[in-house]
Amino acid sequence: MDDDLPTQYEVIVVGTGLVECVVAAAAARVGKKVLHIDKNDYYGVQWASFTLKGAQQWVDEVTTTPAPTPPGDCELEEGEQLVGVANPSEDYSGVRQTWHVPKEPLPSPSPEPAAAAPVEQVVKEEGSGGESTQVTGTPDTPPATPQDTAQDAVQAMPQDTAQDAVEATAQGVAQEMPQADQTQDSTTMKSEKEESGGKKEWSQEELLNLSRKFNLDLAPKLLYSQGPMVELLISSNIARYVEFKCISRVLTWLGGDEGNLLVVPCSRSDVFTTSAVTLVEKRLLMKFLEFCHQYDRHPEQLEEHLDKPFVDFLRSKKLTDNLIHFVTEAIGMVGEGAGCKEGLERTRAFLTSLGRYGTTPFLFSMYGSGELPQAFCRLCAVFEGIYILRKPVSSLVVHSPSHTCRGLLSEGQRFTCNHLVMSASHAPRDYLPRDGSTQGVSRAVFLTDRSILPHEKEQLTLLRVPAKEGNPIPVTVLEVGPGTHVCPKDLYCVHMTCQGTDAESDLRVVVERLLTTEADDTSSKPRIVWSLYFNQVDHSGM
Amino acid sequence: MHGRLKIKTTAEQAAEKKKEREEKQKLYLAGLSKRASGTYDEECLKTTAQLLAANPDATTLWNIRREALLAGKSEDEESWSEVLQGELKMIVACLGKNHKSYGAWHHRCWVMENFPNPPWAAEVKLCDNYLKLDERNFHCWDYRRFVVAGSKQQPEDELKASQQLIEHNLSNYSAWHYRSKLLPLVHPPPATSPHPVAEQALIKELQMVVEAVFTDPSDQSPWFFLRWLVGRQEKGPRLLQVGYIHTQGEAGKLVCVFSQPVPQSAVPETTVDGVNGGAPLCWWAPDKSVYSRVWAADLSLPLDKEHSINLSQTGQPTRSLMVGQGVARALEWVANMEVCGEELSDTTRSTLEEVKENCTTLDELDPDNKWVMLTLVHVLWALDSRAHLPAILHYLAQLQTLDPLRHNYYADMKSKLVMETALRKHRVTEVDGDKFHVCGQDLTRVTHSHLLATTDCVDLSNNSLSSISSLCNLIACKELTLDQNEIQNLSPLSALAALQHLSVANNKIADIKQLSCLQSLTNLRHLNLKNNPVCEMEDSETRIRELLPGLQTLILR
Repeated sequence: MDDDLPTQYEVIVVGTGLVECVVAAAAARVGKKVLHIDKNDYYGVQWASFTLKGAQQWVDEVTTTPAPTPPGDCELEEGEQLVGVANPSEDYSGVRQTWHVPKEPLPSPSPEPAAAAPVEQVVKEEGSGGESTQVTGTPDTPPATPQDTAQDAVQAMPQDTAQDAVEATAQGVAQEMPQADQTQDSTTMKSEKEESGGKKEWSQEELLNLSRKFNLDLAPKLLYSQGPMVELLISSNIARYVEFKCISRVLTWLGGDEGNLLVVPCSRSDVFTTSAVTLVEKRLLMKFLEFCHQYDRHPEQLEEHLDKPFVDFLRSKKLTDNLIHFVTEAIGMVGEGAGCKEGLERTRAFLTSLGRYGTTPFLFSMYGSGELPQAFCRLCAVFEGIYILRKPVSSLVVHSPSHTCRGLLSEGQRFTCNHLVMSASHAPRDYLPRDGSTQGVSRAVFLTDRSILPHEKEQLTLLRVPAKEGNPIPVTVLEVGPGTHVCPKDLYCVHMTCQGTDAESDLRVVVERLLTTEADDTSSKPRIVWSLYFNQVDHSGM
Repeated sequence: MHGRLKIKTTAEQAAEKKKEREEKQKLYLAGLSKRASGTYDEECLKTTAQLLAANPDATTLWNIRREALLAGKSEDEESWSEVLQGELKMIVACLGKNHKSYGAWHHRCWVMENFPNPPWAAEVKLCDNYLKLDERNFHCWDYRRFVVAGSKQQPEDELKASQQLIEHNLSNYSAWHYRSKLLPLVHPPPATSPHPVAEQALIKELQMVVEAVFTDPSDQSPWFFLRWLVGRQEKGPRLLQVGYIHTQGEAGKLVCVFSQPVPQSAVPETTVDGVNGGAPLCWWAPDKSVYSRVWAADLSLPLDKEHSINLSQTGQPTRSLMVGQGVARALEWVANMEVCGEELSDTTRSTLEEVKENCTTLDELDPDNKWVMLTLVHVLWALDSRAHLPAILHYLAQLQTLDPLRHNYYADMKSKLVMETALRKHRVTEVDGDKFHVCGQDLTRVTHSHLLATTDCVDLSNNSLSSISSLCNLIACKELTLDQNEIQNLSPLSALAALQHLSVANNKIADIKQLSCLQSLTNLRHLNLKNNPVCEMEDSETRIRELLPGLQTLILR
């Protein structure tokens, strides 16, 4: 088969990360001949979504030293040389997966605490060899601007679910009814179970049997409903390949360790129904949000504030401390140190996306964020892009005198191209800027047995825990449930993200506030069933 | 759905459409011919279903379909139910084409009425779904009321549903309105209460609606609901006043004044001097309408002795009115004129005070919001219009500049308030042969004129009156002064038989014909027409004298 494969392309894209896929789709769409390869047997690279077993394999993969890829050999023209590429797995460090439930189901469903000695699979860092020091050695970057990864994560496309709902005018009504009945049944079943005492006691075996029900994101991504990614998905018609659900509530953490979760009133109906703010605060908040929506139309009100802190501006607008917390930490997501301009801009970004597909500005793709790169790949393939998975790159063919890349070598075969696209994670280390402009991201994924703030309906929750009152770094928390098909029934999937280089210590405060590993049910906190911590180099700042 | 753009059709599409239309027409004609021949068969149902799915607004087709269904109706309940279930499905398909089709919703009502065991619960859910798609689809709201009336759906549940809709979007006027219809059912107020709902519910509702107006004070839906909540409910009509007014010789009038317009049959049975069955009294309304607040009857009583007049209403104690010897008038107030603020309970009063405080705060936060001010006007009015008169007038003046399109609406409100205040004062200081005057207050209309039915002397000069139609109620008035207004038409005065002095100086009466209506006023002796355009006409004096020969004084200049 390899013999039939053309070896000449206009564009070769290496790796199926989101950005690479967008480039591949764009190139194919304008008629370029595209080859898109990935060494893995799955799409997405750092954007992948895994089944539970897939996640285990990924842990194994990033924690074992790969057999060094032979540089390969082929005929080279004069001035050409082979340059080795990097392994994206080297971007990961501190990977630690932990089970908090027993291996096998308990013989009797007795409510006594399962003696679940955490089975840990600690991963040592020798895996990635010399390079890994570079990773862990990243200087402890202070949480400079807490526009954490929710932001980079936050961009792109909605439609199907929202639109389906709209299009399901009359005909849909009839079809929906039986569904409604089902949901009712399931809730009654649930309440019966709750009455009969005790939640489901999971075991590793049961969870692994349900492996395919999981879509665990390495990098969960929320899209601003009115953001450029959503516009791109619509204009490119890629939206039809993906389904989205709107985040149903935005939470904030108020107070220190003994604090509590509050629903952030961001839409008009939220402000109307919330009991978290007083009557007068409702008016002040609405007034401020209305102002923010078009703040640049009132330059006279801003003049003296633009270079000053956002908080000062909010005070000048008579916002109470309570409201300032909501606006800075949850709506603007900038923290208290931010400047006025930045705060207004971020607040407006939030507000303009509100109400397009739901009562919060954010969309989450069903079946996990890994769907997004695949959707772009699909468009690329429709326009004759060629896809090959499990296709590792041995080395690049570089023409030294002209400083151009002429192609690459894969499994002994040479492919030539006019343009080569690859992510910083794949790129030869020598090609990256030396000034260390990369930052680190700390992430964690948890499977839990209930929501951090239970509600009668299943919710998609975004929470940003501010960097104050004991928590050192702002942490973005995303909780999604079985309704998004990322996990089976009766489980929730919680993602935590912040800037940092040591996931476990960076996230410790937030994890302790929200979750527990204790099996006994004295606290109302969700119990962690499974957890995965890791650190990742963030090349996005380059 | 709102805001859909109409897509232009190309020639190709037009051709396609034409073909489609022709086919539809064929089917339609086939259906009609079947109806003419009375053949209601399966095919007839199929044809109409097909056509209606394309155009659910064709009423004739729905009619044919109903006829066909009834013709094929089987005695077996089960199979009939099955047919009707099929109809429900078919209607859903039609609603997919146009969810605001009168015919489709009407047919659905018909189907439900014909069901042996109507599946009401499913219909409530269907309404929920359609209201999610378009929350102001009044067809669906109507159908929902139909379903709720037919099913055992409790108003409590409906109240919850309305709450959810409001919480989702506080601009949902339909849901607020639905709520105002449900609340009196779920929380009925005690009979004596001036409020639309029981106190506990009132307080809770006020809290919610105040949160809504603080969230978005520029949205009118919650404001209307708020006004409904604090507004006084119209009670049934009550007899306010009875009186006997002597006019001339032995002639006189018996007058009954009601709080609301009533038909003649509502006038109490009357006996004079204990004699029952004398010549029945002939009651008439000043404006000749069927419903009136004022009813009068001519009654002659010799002045040389006392008389007693008994009025009995079913369900009410008999009233008696004593007419003294030689006395020109005898009046009795049966019920108090409704005075705002007097009958408020402490709880309601404090709740209203709270609304007032809240609105004042809101007025500070959001100056120049017309809804805030208008509500303040209503709340202050409900609390105590007399004490708050300056504040209310201030807000009304502000509203007139803020909302110039409704300038006259606010002017009318102000007139009402001024009249209410003046009438209350008038009642307190009333003496025989009384005078009522409201001068220089910019009145644009005369409200509560029925309360002046027995008044002798009325002065409304120096206002902005252009219409005086309500003055027809002043049947006892002998002296009427309307100087310095904008009156063009005097015809409402033609029923004021007692009128002796009429002054309409400085008005806009331009035509001598306008004065002909005064011919019926046999007692009119003095007329002041100074500074009216009509005075400028040649030989106006002669012509007026000719028209009204009974005049003693006529002032034209």
